[in-house]
This record gives sequence, C-alpha cells and structure tokens, in this order.
Amino acid sequence: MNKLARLQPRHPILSRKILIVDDNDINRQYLRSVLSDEDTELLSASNGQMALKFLENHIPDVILMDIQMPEMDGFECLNLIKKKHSDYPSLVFAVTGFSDDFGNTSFKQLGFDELFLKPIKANLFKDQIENLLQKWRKEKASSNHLLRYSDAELVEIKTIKELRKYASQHELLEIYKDFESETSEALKQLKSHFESNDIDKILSILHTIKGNSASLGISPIAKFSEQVEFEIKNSQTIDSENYLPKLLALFAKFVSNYERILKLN
Amino acid sequence: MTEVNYKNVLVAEDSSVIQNLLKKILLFENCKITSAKDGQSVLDKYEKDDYDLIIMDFNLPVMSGLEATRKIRSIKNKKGKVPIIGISGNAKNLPESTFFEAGVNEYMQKPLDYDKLIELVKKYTASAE
Repeated sequence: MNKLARLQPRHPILSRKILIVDDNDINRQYLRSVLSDEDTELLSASNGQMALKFLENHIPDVILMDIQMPEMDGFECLNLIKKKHSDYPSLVFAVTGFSDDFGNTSFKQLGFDELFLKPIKANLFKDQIENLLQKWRKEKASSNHLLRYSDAELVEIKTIKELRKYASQHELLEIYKDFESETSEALKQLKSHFESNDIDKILSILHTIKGNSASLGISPIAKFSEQVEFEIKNSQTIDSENYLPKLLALFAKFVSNYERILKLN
Repeated sequence: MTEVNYKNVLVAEDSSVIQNLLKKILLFENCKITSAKDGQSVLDKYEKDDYDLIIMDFNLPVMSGLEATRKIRSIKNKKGKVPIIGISGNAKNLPESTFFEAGVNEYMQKPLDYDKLIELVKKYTASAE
C-alpha cells in the first residue's frame, strides 16, 4: 500500500454546520432546502442580532450573510462578529442580489471570504461551498492553528444524528462522558508506556482510542491516533515528544466543547 | 399487559464506551445485553446461558474474538450455531475472509454504522422465539 496515501485521513470530514443570515423567509427556506443533507446542520437567523446570538453557542463552518437587511446590514454584522471573535474558525460568504452593494471595494477587503450573487443556482452552490470549505480545512490543518476546530469538525453531525435516533439527549451525553473518562485513563497509561517505550501496549491503546473516537464521530482524535498508530507500526520508533502533547491537546479541546455541542442537539 | 419478549444478546467488547453505547441503542430494539470483556469470559457466559445473538469484537484480551468464534463454532450442537456479528478495527490488517472462515455470519468495521448494525440485529433476532 502506498505509504503516503495511507497517511491521509480515509475521507475528508464532510460534516458541516452552516448559519444562514437573511431577513427574507423565502430566501432562508430556499437555502435550507438546497443545503440540507445528513452531514449538514443548518441554523437560520432572520437578522444580525439573532446571528450574533447563535454565535455565542455555536461555532459553524460557514456563515452565509445577506447584505441588505433592515436595522443591521451584513457589513455591520460581519464587523461585530470579527470584533467579538477574533479567531473565529468560520468562513463568511456574502450573499446578495445587488452586485453594486460593494461599490468599488472588493468583498475580500471588507472581510468576506467569498461573494455569491443571487439568484443562487441550487446544484452549483452546494458544490462551491463544499470546495471552499475543504480548501479552508486543508489550510487550517497545514497552518499552526491546529486547534481551531468548528463544532462539526470536533463531533461529526452525521454520527450525532444517527445516535439520536436510538438514544435520548441525556443518554447521548452519558455515552460521550464514558468516552471522556475511559480515554483520560487510557492517556495516562499511554504516557507511562511511552516512557518505558513499550510499543505493543502503545499500539493497543491507540487502537482502542481510534475505534472508540471514530465510532463516536470524534474525527480529530480518531484521525490523529490512526496516523500515529500507522507511523509507529511502520518505523517501530516513537516520537513521543510530538505525539503525546498533540493527542492530549486534541483530547482537551474535545473535553472542553463536547457538552456544549451535544446540548445543542 | 403484553409481555415484552426480550432477545438475549451477548456483547463481547473490551471498551466500556462501546459496551454502554450498544446497551443503550439495543435496548431500544428490545434486546437484553450481557457484557463480556475478554474472549474467555465470552465462552464462559455462553456456556452458562442461552443467547439469541453474539456481537463480537475481535480485538479482545486473554483470548481474541476470532479464537472465541472458532471455539463456539466447534461446539457440535445447536449452541454452536448462534448467529455472530463480528466487529473489528482490523488492527492486524487481516483479509475479510479470515473472519468468515472463523465462522461469523456478518462482519462490520469500525467506525460502526449504527443503522446497519440495528438492521443486522433485527435480521438475526427476528426468527428467535
């Protein structure tokens, strides 16, 4: 098997949370019907204030911002978002029916990541958003902002939706709490096995962490443990100075966010 | 009152995360779950009681799930024919045929597809009365 190909995650994270900001009911409903699928969670705000309110609890991947809205327009709303959340891990796209909204200033200068002109073409729009999102995720992964995860990246939407068919919200939380306590114990053991260089035990623990986190849709932990498991198997040497702190940081990121994310469902 | 007809399912899985998760979602399908955390205790529990289905992770301590599956299949009476759904993260990169040769009826890879699992559980517990 090609070593490099195997090092890539098996699939990109398809999960995404999208916030639609538009004062027009029909536009919001239209965008919802265009974007809705099993990997997507959609939030709709009918004005800028409501959008800001959503962002107190949610970290979406993409914000679709209408420009002409009463009281607070899209420019002002974006400014307030940037002011409040300086390192927000979301892409913000302007969606407008008026190409001259921006005058001679480019949308990029005003802080938007892309501009879409209405009318939105249903079949193209979804692919365009997906492409921009995957490109952004690649950039994030290769930069040093490794821990700027959106909600949908930390716990995959599809997994939550699937589990919610069989478990109540309370039960779902318990399942993830089990994962937290079992994994925090496993990480302690992992640390001591790293110290004593016990490769078999390290691999066994990584394998369990990988299986558990993947089954719960916790992709950053699943993908990283898979990568480390693969690298150790192939080289039989361990770069514990790199692996362990990163795994601990990913786990800490998960721990500080999962209750909030699950309670939103 | 109608009596609920529970199916007895033995879940062999060393991680309590997956154990508890399966307990919760299979209860929904009227399954009563008994847990076993290693291959030997799967055999011990299986000898003592009757089960309608076994869900078996292959990566088990003491005795692997693959070995436990082979031992159950070597029992030469009705007990040896219990349906077994094998689950694996496939740490050793074994070909799928290994699992079927050991005697599983179905094989699923982690991460688990819960809809598929429920479908299989329904399929194999439907006729058991």
